[in-house]
Amino acid sequence: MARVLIVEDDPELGRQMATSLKAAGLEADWVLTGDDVGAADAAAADLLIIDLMLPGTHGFDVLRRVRAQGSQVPVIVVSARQQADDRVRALELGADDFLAKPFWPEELLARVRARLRRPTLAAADAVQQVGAIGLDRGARTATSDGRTLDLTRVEFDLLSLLAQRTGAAVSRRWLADRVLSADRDIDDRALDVHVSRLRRKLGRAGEQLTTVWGVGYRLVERA
Amino acid sequence: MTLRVRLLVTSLAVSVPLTLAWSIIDATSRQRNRLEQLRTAVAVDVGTDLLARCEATPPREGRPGLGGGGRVPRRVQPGGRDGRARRRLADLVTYEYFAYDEEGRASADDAPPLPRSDRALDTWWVLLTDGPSLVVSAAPSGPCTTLLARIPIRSGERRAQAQTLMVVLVSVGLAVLLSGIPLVSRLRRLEARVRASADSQYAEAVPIEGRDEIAAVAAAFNEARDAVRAQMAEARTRAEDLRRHVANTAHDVGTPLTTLQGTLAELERAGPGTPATVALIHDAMREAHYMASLLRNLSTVVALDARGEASVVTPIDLSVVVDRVVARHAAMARAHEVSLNHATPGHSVVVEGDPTLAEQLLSNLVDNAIRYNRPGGKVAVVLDIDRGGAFDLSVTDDGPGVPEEELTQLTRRWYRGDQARTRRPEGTGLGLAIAAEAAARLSMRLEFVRPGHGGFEAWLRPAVPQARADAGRSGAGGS
Repeated sequence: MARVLIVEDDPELGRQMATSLKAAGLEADWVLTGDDVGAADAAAADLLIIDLMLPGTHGFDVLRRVRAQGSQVPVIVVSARQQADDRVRALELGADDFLAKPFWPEELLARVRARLRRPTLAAADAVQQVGAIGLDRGARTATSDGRTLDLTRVEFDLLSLLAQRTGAAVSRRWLADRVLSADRDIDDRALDVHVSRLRRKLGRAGEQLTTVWGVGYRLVERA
Repeated sequence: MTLRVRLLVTSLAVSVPLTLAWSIIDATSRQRNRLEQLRTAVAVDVGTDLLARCEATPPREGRPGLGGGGRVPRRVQPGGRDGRARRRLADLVTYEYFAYDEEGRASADDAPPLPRSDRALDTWWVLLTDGPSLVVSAAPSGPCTTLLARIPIRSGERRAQAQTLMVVLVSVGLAVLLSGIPLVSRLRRLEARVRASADSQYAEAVPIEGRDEIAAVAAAFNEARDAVRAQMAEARTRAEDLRRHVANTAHDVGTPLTTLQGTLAELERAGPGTPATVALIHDAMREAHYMASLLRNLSTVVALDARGEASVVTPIDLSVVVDRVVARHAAMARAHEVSLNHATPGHSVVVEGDPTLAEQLLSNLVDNAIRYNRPGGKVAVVLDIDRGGAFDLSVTDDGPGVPEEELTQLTRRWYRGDQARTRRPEGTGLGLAIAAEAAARLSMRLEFVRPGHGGFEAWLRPAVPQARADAGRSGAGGS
């Protein structure tokens, strides 16, 4: 479980931040001042959240000290100050992100997750299982509830790409650029036809392939 | 030192040495000419009857010298270049002789002392106080052993030279003063008018008199005045806009804060677990989000009004910006019962610019799409790369949309369409104006479209069509 250390002098906000991160499945510790952050604490954390306007040691100094100790732990700086100078300075001192107050808890959580895990295309594993759908990219075969599917090249490629980005909405254009020929119709109606056929072939598992209004499609683990 | 005095001193400093130098050159030339004439005359006299005349003239009769010496006849060419003699006026000079015996005693009382030569010469020049003289050894002995010939410098001649010099100097001085007086007067008038213009906040231009250099200075000042006035007007407009925005924001924050307080009070009364609780919570979330948007827009306006001096230019990953903005609005979307979805290419899409502006630009578009939608509505934020490699970023909603005729007005500051005012009476009409200004600052093109299905669509693309977003670069955060 990833461990997050929060340095925030406002009691209520610090409590809220720790509580929301814990609710998301993270281990969160909270201290009130920069002086309470020891070298061991920073070294043991997987991510630091540092408020700028701290009593005693300023947030910039805490950040500077952490980097001076050779630590490369990801740091998110939070501040109610909106000036561009603070953001630039924080990044120059080694912060990885700057979040201006006010923010929603889920906004902070999204930033924390982004820093703990780089968002990239999931590795195209040779064999992948997404809910009831199975994929073997090496053999170019797919199954649904254990039943082998008879898919065209385009249908298999569609399914494979969606599986690589399971849970994320994927735009029509992004899919069409990768599975259809370059001289296709711009309105991508052909893509919709292929998706429609794929859904039918998936049977009940076709419910895992959802349409996202205004975006394109999403493959989820569970319908 | 005043200009007038400076002109006078400069003129005198130039004219006096020049005049003196010219006088000296002229006097030297005249003297040289006289000396040549004297030498010629003496040579003629010596060759004729000079000695006989000298010995015949009684030396002690008081007559000065040999009497007259004569005038140089015109046809006798003086020594020196003929060309110069012909160009002169007839230079008739009187010269005289003084006789001395073998002991050096003069026959005339007013004769100058006879200078001696170290060398045995028949003829030699000497310079006496009365002018250069020619000494001639005329006889071995007798009252005319040695003759001294000279052209006396008339006292009036020197006075005339001094008078000429004074006339020249006075003329120069007068000329300077006479020309300097109107010049200085014009400059003083110009100075007074420039100061008056500055005191009146450059309300009036300076009149231009004539077509000389002073007129050019006045014209240059007027051009500078026009530029200053334009800058002052722009600064006033911006300051007024900012003051208005701050005042409106302060006003607008008051209402949602009050609403939030009321909602929280109702929550307290309602107690936990009642159906009304969720709705109240959503109300509170909407108000809180709105206040946060106001604060962010206020900072953005300040940054935009700084006219780029404080702008930050760093790589911006638009994929990260989309993720963050959607995360920021997720709660608000739930509060409005609007579904919010997004898609990115799955890799970095990097452009250069101020990341704060980029986030606020997209945030305002998403904010509008949610706020002016209806419960059950949908909003989609899609970042794609087109075939040319350029990004395009769209925010689409299925809300009531905006009438076609209002689309071009949306980015005007303070503009709010009729429907916006009806659905959301609060609001300053600055959100899309800020978005448009931020887009321009980021070298992006912002377009609004009324899609075929209704609703509203905002598109962001590079302002320069061939500008490409660097795809797949790692390490470029959205911050």
